[in-house]
Amino acid sequence: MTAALAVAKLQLRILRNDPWFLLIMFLMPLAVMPLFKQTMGLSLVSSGFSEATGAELVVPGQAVLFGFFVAGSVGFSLYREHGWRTWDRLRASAASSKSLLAGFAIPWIVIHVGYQLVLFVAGGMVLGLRLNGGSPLAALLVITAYSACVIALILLLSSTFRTVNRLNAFQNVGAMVFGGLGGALVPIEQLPGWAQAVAPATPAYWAMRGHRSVFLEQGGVSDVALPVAVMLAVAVVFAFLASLRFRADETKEFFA
Amino acid sequence: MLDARDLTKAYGDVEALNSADLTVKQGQIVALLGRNGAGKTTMLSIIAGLLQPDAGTVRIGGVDALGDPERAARLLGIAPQETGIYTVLTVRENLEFFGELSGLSRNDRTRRATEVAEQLGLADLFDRPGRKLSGGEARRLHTACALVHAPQLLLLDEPTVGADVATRQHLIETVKSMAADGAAVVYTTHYMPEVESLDADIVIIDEGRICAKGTRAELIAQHQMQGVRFEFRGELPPHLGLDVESVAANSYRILGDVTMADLLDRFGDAASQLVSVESLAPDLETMFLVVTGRHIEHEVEP
Repeated sequence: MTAALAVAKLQLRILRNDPWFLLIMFLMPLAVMPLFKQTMGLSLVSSGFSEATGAELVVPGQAVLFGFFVAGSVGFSLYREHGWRTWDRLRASAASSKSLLAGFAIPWIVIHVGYQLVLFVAGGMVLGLRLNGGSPLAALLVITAYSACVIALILLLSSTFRTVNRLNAFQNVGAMVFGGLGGALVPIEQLPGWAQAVAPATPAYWAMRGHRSVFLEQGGVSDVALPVAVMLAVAVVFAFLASLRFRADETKEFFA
Repeated sequence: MLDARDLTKAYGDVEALNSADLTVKQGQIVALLGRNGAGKTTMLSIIAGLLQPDAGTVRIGGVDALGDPERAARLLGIAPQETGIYTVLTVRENLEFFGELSGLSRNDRTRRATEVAEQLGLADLFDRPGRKLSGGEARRLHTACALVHAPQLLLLDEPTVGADVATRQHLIETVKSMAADGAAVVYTTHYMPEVESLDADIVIIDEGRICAKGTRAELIAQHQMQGVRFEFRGELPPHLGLDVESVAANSYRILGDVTMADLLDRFGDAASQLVSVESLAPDLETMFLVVTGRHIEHEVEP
């Protein structure tokens, strides 16, 4: 527990000393959001949400999309230890593999939730997003469940892939494919039938479904219970598989 | 403090360690000497719990390190061969992190970080980020991170590779001071003067086997060190009447009571084919050569 806490604090200290990645990941979606607002607004109006401005899907959509990129950081921070030659030092400490894994995962879940919250607030201010009767607690639950789900997915991938290049490729392609299929880029009802059929296999679909309930349908906690439960259940399965698959003595390759 | 027995490890067909033993008492410094690939790093990695042996036992402070690695890990500090520090953190943050990882309280890790930084000449660099340290400074920080929790067993894998003279001096003084305080130290190096400066006991490993162990004086006394080494172009004359041993292509040695003048006399006219001749003096280099039949590699001096 002490070691997990030390590693968790280390992640926050590293981020504090080098916050540029997170800053860029904050500014990029803010810059992109206005470009999609009008198109998304028209799509929503044509789907029957006559009062929609587009912000109701653009802000959550960009948070979900870029949230996938930010989730990759937990994996990169693991591989980076190999690049810095510090991984063996962590292993030689009294920390068990599971506490090391927890030390990496927990702070990144907190950072990820915070990142999405800041993006929702800033995006909301820029694009005029309003809850319009939706529950803020429900939105927070969706955000938290999505963070847990994608962080656990990245941990599972990191415990499987030997090189950071593979994770990087998966993260880049995965963000676009999952985000696109999940309704983060265009409303799900505008996707082809086959895409709508496979969409529930992506975390983005459940996150967007929850956000739609809150921001378009004045949903409360009970309305987001299913998407939140699905994402948390998937997070538990991924985390369990990651803990089984994770081998501290496996050599990983960071960027050459 | 350390009792490693019959350590055996193979990587496929390559035997990295073969029934190797290593024991170190409290306050003792053991220099583990060997060429690249001799098995030094494999041995340290097994002791530190970074690698599982195929066979053998490791006890650290009485704890079965293979059966209870987490408990054993609390007793040891390791500075691996490659420099491993957090370049985005300051010297202080690096030291405090490794202190915290080892379970030191906030006050203890602050105190120990300061002490270790002073010992290794890092006190003036306390708030400098790792990325702004010179190679020698980074190397000192790398070693300091292994010392911050005052381990009872310290494993240093070639700690002075690429280090400047000041860094070597700081490291040697620090290691001697830790041993004087009761720590057991295993120190691998290619640089023989360091072994003499540390006044370390010596263990020589070659091709995964322990070839010799003892104090410097004991090893020099045990192994006949007098003789000559020479390089000769062409076939050796058949009637030298000496026990010539080939140690490499065109390179030979004769151990025993033979001088360079004797050798030149015996070669006669063929002496013109001698490329070089050197006396084998009773020092660690020669002792290593006698024990392993090979010179230890020398790193380029900074």
